[in-house]
Amino acid sequence: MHMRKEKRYFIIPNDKKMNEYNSDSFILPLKDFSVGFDIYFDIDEINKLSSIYSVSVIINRFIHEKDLDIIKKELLKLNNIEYFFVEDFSLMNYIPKEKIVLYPNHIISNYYSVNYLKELGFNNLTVSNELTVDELIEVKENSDSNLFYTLISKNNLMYSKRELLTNYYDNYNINNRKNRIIVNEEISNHELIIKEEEKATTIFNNKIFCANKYLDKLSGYNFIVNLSNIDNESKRIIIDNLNNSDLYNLIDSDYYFLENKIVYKVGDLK
Amino acid sequence: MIKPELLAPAGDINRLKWALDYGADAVYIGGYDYSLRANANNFSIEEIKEACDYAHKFNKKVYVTVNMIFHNEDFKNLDNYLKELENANVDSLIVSDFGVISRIKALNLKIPFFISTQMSITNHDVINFYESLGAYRVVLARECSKEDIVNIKKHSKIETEIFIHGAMCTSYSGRCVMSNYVTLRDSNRGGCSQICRFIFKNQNNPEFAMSSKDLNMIEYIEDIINIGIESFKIEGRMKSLYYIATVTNAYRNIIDKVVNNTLDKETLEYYKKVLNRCSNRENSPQFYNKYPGVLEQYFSGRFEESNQDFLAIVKSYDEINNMAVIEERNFFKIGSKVEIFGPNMEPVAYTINTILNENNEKVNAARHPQETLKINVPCKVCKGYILRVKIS
Repeated sequence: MHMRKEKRYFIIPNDKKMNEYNSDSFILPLKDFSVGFDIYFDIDEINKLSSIYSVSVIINRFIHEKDLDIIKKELLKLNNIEYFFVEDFSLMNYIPKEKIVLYPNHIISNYYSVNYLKELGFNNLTVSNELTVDELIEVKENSDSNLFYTLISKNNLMYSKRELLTNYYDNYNINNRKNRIIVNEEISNHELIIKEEEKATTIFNNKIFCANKYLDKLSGYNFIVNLSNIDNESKRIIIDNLNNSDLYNLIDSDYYFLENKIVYKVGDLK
Repeated sequence: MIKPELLAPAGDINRLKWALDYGADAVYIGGYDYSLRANANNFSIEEIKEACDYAHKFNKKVYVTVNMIFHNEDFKNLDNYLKELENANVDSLIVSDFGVISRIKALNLKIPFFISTQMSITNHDVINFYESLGAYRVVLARECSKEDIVNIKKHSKIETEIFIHGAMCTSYSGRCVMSNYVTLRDSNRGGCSQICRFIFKNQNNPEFAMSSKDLNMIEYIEDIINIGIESFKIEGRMKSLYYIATVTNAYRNIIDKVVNNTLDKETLEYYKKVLNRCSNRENSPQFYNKYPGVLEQYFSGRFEESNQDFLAIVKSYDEINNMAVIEERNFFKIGSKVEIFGPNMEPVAYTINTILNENNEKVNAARHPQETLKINVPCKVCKGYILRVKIS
């Protein structure tokens, strides 16, 4: 039996007007070590905000050898941080495990992993967004870890180390270079956001994923609300309706895999 | 200088035998479930046992991929499967999901495991973490530079494996779910529909594409042997017999010559041409020697060109008449300049001057794929040898 706890929302902001989010819990992307967000925060900004709000930091780039020493030094400068959301397991060497929230995108998809990682000292984990609501409930019911789930976001679909937009512009000699474009896959009519940053490109679905329909069923999870790539009007509605299970009807959204199990063998496609 | 393992892919038992015969020290395969090539033919448990028996006869190894990202329901039969793999004498498992590692430990299996490229490992601290979980090897991310690899080797104790040839994901491995959203096929459970090879409309601008060219490390084999990498992996469990035999044979020869200090520029250039012709996509060393840019990717969607280099497979050898019985694959004729090669034999170039049909009648060309013919050969050959267009 798990104690029902109050829902908690961790906001990843898309601007620095922190008082407009009606929230006191933020996840701030660390400059130079995170990728795919609209804004980043340096050490000084994070330390200032952490004296006012409950601040967590996200570090979701893969750390290559030459960056290990740099990130180690940066981490030492951070004060009063609630959690560190990390993609790269190397960071466990520099951050106390109880402060780490594992955030390996798309990877933690079952309760066997959750329970094993808890045995290894990782009590805080972010569960994949590509699960059905039944799978999410099953994960929660079969573990007592402190679980996080991205409730609202334009979901990240891909993270490349290549500069795909620069390559595209170079190939076609395009001078008007934007670091963010929206492209369309014609057969499925899917719009994708392509976003380039230094030595990285991330791709997002251009429709907002919103799991609020299942707020009650997902009770027990901590919710991440990532406002990156989301327009101001939708953002306002989201902020004002975080607790509203009908929010998905108020914005242009979808809940993808929550109700639709996906397959992996061609023969299983109906 | 440590001689590295040459690790080749095999999508079925036939490919496995060819990969081993053509010089692989080990092969990696997938069962019907749990691997990242759900749509390859893959192996039943009986075939995995047969594969291990075959490999072990030659002191070679078989690794089985159990490297998809599991959902709760996928664990239903996993314990039985893992035990069956151990009983089949599989040499190692390739895993990525922590839940699978937990089951290997809970079942107290003796079978060793190593960590798949799916986990995108880019530094030694992560490797030391996986060592603490019991892994004896990790496969590095294809995004690692030479500098990364050198440092990793310096600061980690367990074995490292790197990809040396084959297709590249555009994404860090394991961090792409475009297939899930666009085609409802789960990329991390083996259903990847290769959305990164699609083209995309970009309003009135040229179409957007992101497909990576393939990886080819032939120029840097000496380099990575000197760094001390233990295993060199060829990608391609869904590739053809010809591809597997040719690529495996090319790297076998290059590795052996580097280790024996007999590699010359001419040989290296020859095998570069072999690999370039065999693969139907362009290639480069990608992240190893520089940060890949515009030249390391395609901009026009799928870009595969078939070639007709693969001419025939030898079925048997007539020693008295110095003729090979062959099964044709592609057209050739009297006067065609060809080369023949096989396991443990470097290619020998020659000219076709005799072709006999099944009635021992002279014909001037081999026109019908799958037809059995006899041809002249320049030396003793064996069943399974390959006849191909002369590479020059």
